[in-house]
Amino acid sequence: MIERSVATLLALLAVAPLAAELRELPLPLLDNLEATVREQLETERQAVDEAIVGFRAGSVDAARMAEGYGSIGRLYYLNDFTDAAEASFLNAIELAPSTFDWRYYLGALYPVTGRLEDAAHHLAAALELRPDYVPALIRLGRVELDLGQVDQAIARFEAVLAIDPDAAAAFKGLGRAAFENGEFQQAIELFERALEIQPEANLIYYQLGLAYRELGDRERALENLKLNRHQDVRLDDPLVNNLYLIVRSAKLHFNSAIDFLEQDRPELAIEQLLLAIEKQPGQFTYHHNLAAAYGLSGREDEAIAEYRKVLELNPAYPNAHFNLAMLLVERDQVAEAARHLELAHRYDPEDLVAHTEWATALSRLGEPERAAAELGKVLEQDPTYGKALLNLATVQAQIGRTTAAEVTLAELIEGDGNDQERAAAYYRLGKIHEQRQAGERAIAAYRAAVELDDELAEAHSSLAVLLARRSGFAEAAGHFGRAVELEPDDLASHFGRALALVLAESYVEARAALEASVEAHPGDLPLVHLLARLLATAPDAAARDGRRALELAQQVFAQRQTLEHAETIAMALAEAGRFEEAASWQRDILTRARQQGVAGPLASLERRLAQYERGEPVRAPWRG
Amino acid sequence: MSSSRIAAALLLSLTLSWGGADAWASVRFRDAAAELGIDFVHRHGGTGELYMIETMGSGVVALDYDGDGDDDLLFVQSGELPIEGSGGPGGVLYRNDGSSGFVNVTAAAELTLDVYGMGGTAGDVDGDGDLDLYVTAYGSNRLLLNDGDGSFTDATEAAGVGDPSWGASASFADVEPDGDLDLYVTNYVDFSFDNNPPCGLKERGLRSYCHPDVYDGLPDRFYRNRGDGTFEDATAEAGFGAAAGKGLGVVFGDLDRDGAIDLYVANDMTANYLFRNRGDGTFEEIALMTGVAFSDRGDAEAGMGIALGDIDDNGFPDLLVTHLDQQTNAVYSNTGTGLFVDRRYPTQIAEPSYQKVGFGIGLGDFDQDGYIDVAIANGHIIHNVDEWGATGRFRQPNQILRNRGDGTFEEVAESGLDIVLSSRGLAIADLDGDGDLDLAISNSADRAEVYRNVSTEPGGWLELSVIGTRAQLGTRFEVHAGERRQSRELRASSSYMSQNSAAAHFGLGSAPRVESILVIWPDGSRRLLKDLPAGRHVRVGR
Repeated sequence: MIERSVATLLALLAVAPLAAELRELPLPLLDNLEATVREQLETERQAVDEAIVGFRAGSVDAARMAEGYGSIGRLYYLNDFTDAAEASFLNAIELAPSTFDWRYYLGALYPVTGRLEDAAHHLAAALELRPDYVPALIRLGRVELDLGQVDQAIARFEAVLAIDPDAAAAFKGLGRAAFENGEFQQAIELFERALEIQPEANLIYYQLGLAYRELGDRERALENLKLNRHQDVRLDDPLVNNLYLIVRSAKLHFNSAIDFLEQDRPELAIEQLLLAIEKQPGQFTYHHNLAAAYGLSGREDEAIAEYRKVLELNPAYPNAHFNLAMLLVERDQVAEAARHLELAHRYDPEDLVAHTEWATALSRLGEPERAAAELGKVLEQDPTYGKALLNLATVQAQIGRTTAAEVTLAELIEGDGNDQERAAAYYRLGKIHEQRQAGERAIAAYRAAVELDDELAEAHSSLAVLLARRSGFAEAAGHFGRAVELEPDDLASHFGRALALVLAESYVEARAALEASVEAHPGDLPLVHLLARLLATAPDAAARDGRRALELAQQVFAQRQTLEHAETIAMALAEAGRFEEAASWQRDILTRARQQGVAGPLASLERRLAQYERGEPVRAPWRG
Repeated sequence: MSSSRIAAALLLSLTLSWGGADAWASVRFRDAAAELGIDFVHRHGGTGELYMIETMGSGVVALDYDGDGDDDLLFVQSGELPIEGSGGPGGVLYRNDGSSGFVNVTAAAELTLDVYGMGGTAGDVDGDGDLDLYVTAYGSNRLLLNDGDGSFTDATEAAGVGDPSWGASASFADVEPDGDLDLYVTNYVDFSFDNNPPCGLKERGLRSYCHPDVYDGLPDRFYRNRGDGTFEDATAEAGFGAAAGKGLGVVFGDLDRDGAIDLYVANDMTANYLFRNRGDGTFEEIALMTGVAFSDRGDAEAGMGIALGDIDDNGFPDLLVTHLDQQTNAVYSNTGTGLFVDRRYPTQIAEPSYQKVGFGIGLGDFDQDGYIDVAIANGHIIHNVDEWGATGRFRQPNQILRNRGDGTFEEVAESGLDIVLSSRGLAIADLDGDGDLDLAISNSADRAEVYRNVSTEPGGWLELSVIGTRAQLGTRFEVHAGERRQSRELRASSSYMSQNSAAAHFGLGSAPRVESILVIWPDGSRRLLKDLPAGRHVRVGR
């Protein structure tokens, strides 16, 4: 007994000095917290308080006590109880100085309270324990930048790049450091690299603009400074992200999900929203955001199902009706979409967007007169609403009231709308002129459209087609090219660009354009065929390549056996110097043409046969 | 190291410390509201509906309305909510009677302000030699002309300056310049009693005041003084037509030192504006390119109060803007090349503001060591933020940031600004006439604070003002004393809905005399004064 008491006393003596250095944990006011969160914090706190008693009595060892402090510290940290979190982490560190997590959390907590020196101290100490934890390096680098310790910050960011050469946050940090050092050109390159890796991190554009400003490049400075910005560079931080998995707060999961949605990370948002819903199933806003997250991650079936759940919980929620309708429209389920749009409009009569979309759906359902009437109501509320004017003009044109459509479009063009809306109005006006065979007026309208909005792809392609019809091939090629830039999957514009260049006799440019198009769309036979034809017959030697022409022509012919495709093989054989084979192909083509009763091209087929027999290749890729 | 070398090292460090701003003892203030007779209590008239206007006011104006050489105080009052009727009363005026303190003269001055007041500014609008008042309000603002006999007459309607929307800060300056004062009024958001959605933490049943994002910004107003007692709304004509941010703070000042008075507007969560005066009284908005529209991270911040002054002694005035907690207060350092650089971190002004919601802000050399310090009035907007469960607090300590003299600032731990309320307006003036700068602070739904400067062992000082009121605003003083050259510009409103004294106060450190004072009048003409002793109020006439 005496021995045991002495042992206890010795144990107490051993821990007493340490315990004395531990901070008392503040008791945060929990009254207004969510019930589940309050309960979680109270339970954890009670466990820590009991452990403290045990620790002082020697029945709880330092490692367990540290774990207890660290765990409650994480909960305080998540719930923004910074004083209590700080005391908890400091105690955890005191008891377990070699545990990375507690130092790291403390280092991450301090900047929120403005204690940058303390943050730097603890993040540096954490990195001694785990030098390769990238988020710690990034956080420390940022803190050092704010403290004006630029050289140290550079070292941190470079250490990150040694671990992860594509860390956008490190490039942004290095860009800021270069800016601080007055190395503005370097800053620009680093910011641009960060944007290349994370294009969605659009806050960088502002700093990019400031760097251009310092270099005196006013135009590029303004161009970047003016861009819309909301998202910072993403920092993947498993230690902080995983914290959200331990909390019982639906609200925190929801907040975390919103953060992830803002960072364009819908899958992570989905995880958090599912946890939020598990804790608070009846909250329709959670379901609504989950539906949005499913939509953003391409899981449309789940998005639609989730929107339906939202409407079960809150049948009068206009946003859910609207969003569900938009998904249904994409699936051509226009009738159901129209019903939801009508409800979205009913529950929020001031939502002109929903009203306009409803009208548009009606017109797609074959009710243009009703659509026009609803659009008229929208315009009564806001006579300048561009989309309603545009859609009304479309409906008017649909029902043959083209003059009325023109008047509507003129209203939009002459109004205070933005350039994009006015461009769209000019485009639709161009279509009306085209229907009326008024080509010149259509061209003028399309030109006006692209001048106002250089990103209106369909106006570029429509203009290009009309220009090409009037032999303005070079200009047409330019507009087809712009359409391709804007809509890289628009195969018609790819083809149009190449053909216009060929017809403009810009054979080398045509070859380059076609090579790029074929590389992007290797399975598109018309593009491959046109390239083969050009490589075989271009008058400019720099654009020809007989061997490759033959290869491509055979590839096409294997899939599409027509006279035209067979003839390209003959042309390629001739270009490759294989005239006898070319002549033999050509004879075969002529025979088949005669058998099929094809009369029109016989003369040119015969002319080319004669050329091959004379040992002459074809030098007219399209008009020969 | 030998003892003699240690002694030598110590001596060197002592010598070095005496050579900088560290030579001066700590800044210290003492609550003196009761002692000075200031018993103003702000009331917002709230009934639990949490109308946003309740939490935004109000300001405090230092002005010498009776022309006796010391600054009086107008505390703008919100009062009864103007749901039915005009609300108010919109202000309480205290006359400074020198050693006997302040006396409430609201009634004697016939200060009939039947408005729900927000802020105020003072200037000699009619050029009759005394200071008139303009009070902003939720509802029609008011122009009160000083009759010169201690009373005021409401001239709002005749002058045509009663903008009916939600006015916040306003300021006077002669922007053309044609010899009379023009007026700029910032308007905040389109709140109305019919448009007051429930905001806050709904899931916890905590209703709070709404965030400004709930509302749209309102267009500001610029009134050009015709010189005949009337003003014309020249907002669009002067180039302010696009100014529809959520304006809270405003300051006039010659930021590019081209002799024409420019204008800066702090907007709440929308881009701030910097209007450059083309020299003819028309303006162009250049905030984005000059770098003062957003933080250096590209964020629109909750701009509230503004201070303008040359804190880095490069001859060009810098801009300091207060913000919400976590955003940190901004320091836009004027490089003198037409560009500003956000130096909130290098100056160490950001860090002490992380957990503060800053409203009023002012610059003054409180310890008179020759370097401009900063005073900030803090307080949260959300009345029940303490219950939100995090670390935000409605009542927050106000702060003094002392200029170390090396381009950085440190928070004064024992400043004596001990009353912790939710502060809004802040004005700086020598209220007790002892030559140093004191503070007046208004608080939301609470009593006002007035602090006397009781700093120990302050440096020397000099206070400069202009005789008469006509040429007052826009006058710049450049003082050369000892090794230091400092400048101050006289201006009307700054801070948050507030106005500092129209006297320029200079701390002189250990310099016993002022070698020279260059006075640059608003029209560009100059006057040089030489060899003045420290510790004097000097009134300069043309």
